[in-house]
Amino acid sequence: MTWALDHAADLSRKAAARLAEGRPDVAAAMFVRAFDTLESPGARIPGSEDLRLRILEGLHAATAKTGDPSALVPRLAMMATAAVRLAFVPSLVRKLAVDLARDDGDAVGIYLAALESRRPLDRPTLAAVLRILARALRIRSRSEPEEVQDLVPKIERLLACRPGLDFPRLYLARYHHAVEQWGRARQLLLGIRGPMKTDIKVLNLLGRCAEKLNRPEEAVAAYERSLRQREAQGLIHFRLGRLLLGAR
Amino acid sequence: MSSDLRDEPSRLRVSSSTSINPPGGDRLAGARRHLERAAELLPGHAEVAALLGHALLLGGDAGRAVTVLEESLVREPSPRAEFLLGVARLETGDHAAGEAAASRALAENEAFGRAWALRAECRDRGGAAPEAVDDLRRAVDCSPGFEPARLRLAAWLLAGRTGTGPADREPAADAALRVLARRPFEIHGAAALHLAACAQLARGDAARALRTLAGPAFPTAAEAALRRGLARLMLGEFEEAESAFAETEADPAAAEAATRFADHVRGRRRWEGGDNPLPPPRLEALPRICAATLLGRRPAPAAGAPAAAGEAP
Repeated sequence: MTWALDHAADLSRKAAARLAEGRPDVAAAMFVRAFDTLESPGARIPGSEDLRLRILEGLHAATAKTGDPSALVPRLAMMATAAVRLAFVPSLVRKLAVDLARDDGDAVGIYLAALESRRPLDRPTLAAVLRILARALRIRSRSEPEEVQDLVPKIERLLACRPGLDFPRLYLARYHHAVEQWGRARQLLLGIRGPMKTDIKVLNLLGRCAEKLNRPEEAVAAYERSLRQREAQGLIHFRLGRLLLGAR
Repeated sequence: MSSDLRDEPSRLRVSSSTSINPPGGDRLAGARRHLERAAELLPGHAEVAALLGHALLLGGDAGRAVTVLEESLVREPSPRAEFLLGVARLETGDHAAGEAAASRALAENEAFGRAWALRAECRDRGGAAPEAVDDLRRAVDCSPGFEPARLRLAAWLLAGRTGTGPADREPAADAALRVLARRPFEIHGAAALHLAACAQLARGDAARALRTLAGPAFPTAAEAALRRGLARLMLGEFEEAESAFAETEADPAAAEAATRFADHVRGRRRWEGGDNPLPPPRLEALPRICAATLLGRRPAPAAGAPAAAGEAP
């Protein structure tokens, strides 16, 4: 263990020297080796967090010069919760979201950690991050629950740190509806306060949950509001007719 | 069996215009409007067409319901759509086509209680009374909670619709009582008590009939008083009988029957069942196996009938 710490520290010092010599590509490779010495599977060294954070700072400095953060992102994602307090994170998030539009799992992990940290992001960066998360975490009406269940904890994290957002509520409601937790789905939908409140996707799902929960009048009201938004919805006319008829 | 009682089945037939009890004018109109629009937007959707047929039936437009349901069945066979088509055919007076549709529904789903009840109704209208009773028994077996079918079966048994003669009056009354006692009535308790009292009178059990008649007066106070008077008469309680008969004045038909019994009271003659036709149960007021009940609508309560639920004895 001590050997690994000493070895990583030694590599990190040498990498910093290479960076100072103007060889960021070599420095980046050495920082990666240093980090991986401490983070390789099954070999995480206890008490190495400070060193790993210093390595990440060095790796960021090196990749900032090469212009390619691909070596940094997965390593930052590994310890995103701790690493988001590093000074460079907001600028990295901006680069990932605005410049590179990264929506892979590592980038999403960094975005979520950045949002959870409450560190301020500039408006364009925040808008880009939310746009990417809305796409990357999307659960569709027809999504199979087992295919999207890994997204649920991420969406819940997002909703916990940004409770005013509408789309995580809709996505979670779709998931809970799919697994027949209609009460939870309804609760999420009723919590939508923004522009999506009158979206037909929200109203139709709310109507469906109300039907399942034997709240026919609530379902009728939701479907009627939906049809006011868009009249040409055959399925909603059908459901509304069925409800008014009292048929099952 | 009295001739009055034998004639009873014909009194069960009531036109659809009086039997439909839609979910409420505005809601039904709204349902129909939305389903018409859904059919426009989703052409070829069998479930939409079937539900539209249902709405048309409840709205009394059985002719158009036939068209819509037949189109639906061309696209997708469905026991429910066949059943609805059968109801629509029955409503348009074509009981043979109704029976055929009900048979097709049952071929796909033998446990479809309301389809058995529909076929019973169609067969009854076609004059096949014993077969209709058999179908109604199957309806009750499949859907014991469908109270109109149980009332209907009890009434038919009581009326001798199995083709048996007067000698079988008591067994028929026993069979009717068994059908009524099969499980408690939640909606049509007063009607069940009325039928039970009629059955108890038919088997000569006047004391029990009197206890049954202590429940809600059904279908009218005069009808209940007539049966109370008859029970008192059978028990030899002539003054009480005369007093009960006096309460029938409001209803001419009940009063006429009461007058005949009152003559017996005044003459102090012994009760002889064979010479004294039993007043038939007022089956017009009972829930019927017609479009409204087959489609799951609760019929409007009969005039003067209490809404209270009860249990058949």
